[in-house]
Amino acid sequence: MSPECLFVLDHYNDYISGELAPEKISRVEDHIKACPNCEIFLGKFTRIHSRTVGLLRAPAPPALRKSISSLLEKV
Amino acid sequence: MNTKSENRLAFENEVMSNLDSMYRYALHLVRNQEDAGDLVQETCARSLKAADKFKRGTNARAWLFAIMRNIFFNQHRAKSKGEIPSDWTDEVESGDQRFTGSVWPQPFEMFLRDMMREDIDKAMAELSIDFRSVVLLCDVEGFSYADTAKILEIPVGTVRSRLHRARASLQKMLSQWFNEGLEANES
Repeated sequence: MSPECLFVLDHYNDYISGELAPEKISRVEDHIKACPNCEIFLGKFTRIHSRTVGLLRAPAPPALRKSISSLLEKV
Repeated sequence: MNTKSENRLAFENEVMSNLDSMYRYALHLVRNQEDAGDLVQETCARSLKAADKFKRGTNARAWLFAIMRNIFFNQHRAKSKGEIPSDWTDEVESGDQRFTGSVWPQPFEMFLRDMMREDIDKAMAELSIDFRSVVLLCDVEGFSYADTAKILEIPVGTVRSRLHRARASLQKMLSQWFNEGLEANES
């Protein structure tokens, strides 16, 4: 495992969170273009992450939306 | 005639546009739909009392979440000895319609999606409330590490480390879904 692989492993979470500095984003992205192992790893991690987050995004029930709307009208 | 101030109308807009997020966070805290609805109502009622002080451009979303968290912990302290109910998995809202990725053909996609959601709910339930909180706030609601730290009243470094550990746990528990060829048709 190269130092750049280790860099990706140290920073992929912040990369996914959008909390990485621009120069570090470039370093991660440059490396995954050149390293199939890191590309597969990050791709798989990102897929699981985005599916999980997507399924956790339940909307508020319409009845609650209506009652909050009424509350705002009254107060 | 509408006598509401611009600030008040802006605040109401913030409340309504963040309702889905508030409900999800409430559901995560109280783990049943009825109590989640009550918690959202109480949060809105409390925040309305301070609505006149609301200034456009401030982070109303983070403020609403912080109010909700404080109400929950105050109620929880008053009602119990610190135990978190364990039936959250069965009560998680099942009406999600945002899974838009066309991975599997209908109706098999629906079937697999429901199964996967069950596993996600179970995996989330296995996380501690501290870990679930950062997943909900950072990943589901999109708060920055800094805003999440303010809402939860913990250091940014703690947000980061909890999030990384929580994600690793979720990945481990859910990886089977991505090891069995079920995503073969993903574009």
